[in-house]
Amino acid sequence: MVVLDALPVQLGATLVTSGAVVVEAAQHTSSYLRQAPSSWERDRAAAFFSWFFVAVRLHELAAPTVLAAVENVSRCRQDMAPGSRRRSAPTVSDGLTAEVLRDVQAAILISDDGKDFGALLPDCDFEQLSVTEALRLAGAG
Amino acid sequence: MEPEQNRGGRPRRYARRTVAKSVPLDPAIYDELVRRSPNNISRAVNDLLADALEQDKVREAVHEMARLLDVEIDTDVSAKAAAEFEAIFQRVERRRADRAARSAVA
Repeated sequence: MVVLDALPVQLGATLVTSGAVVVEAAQHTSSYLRQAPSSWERDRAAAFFSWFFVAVRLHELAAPTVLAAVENVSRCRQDMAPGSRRRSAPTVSDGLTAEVLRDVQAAILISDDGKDFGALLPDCDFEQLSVTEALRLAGAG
Repeated sequence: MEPEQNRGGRPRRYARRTVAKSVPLDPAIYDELVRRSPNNISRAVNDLLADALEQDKVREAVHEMARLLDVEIDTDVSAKAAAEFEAIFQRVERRRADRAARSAVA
């Protein structure tokens, strides 16, 4: 999950993310590093991880906002009908990323969890791109 | 608490590292800097250079990521993507402005 804010940089936007996403990305990368077939592959994955966080700006949240994010997630989970067919509820990571989106007044959210962010940010106006759509825009197929 | 900026508007922590350098400016560039920041040209130059260096870092990171993925950056695709992103930014901005106008009336 990466959010784009309205600051005019490359492509008229800046890539912004939350600390929670950094942790998730580190976990995925660490998991890959353990299974990588060669040291060459490991080095490439580690280098990619490092460059990713040069390209993407990490947005820090204030303590009250972190608390508000967790409370927002709890409210969303309570609002979900007990018989809901949804596979998952918003996670704390989603909640923190939603607060980043609100803080920077992002116009675009890149995520595959659209319903979660709609529930977490009912009063925010933004558009969502799935990861596939974002990659298509970036020319990756 | 110590103010974060000195009287010149520069970050206080850099005060001892200030470098004075005479740089001839194109008149049109000078006029634009005066328009942007009439009282502090140095600050305008510093802000613009900081932005440019930051963009350069991001561009380098994007190129390194592409190299690690063995893909080439297609500038035609980038231009098309910029247009699509711009259309989204404009739609969102319009909706936010409409919402703000409705709130002001109510």
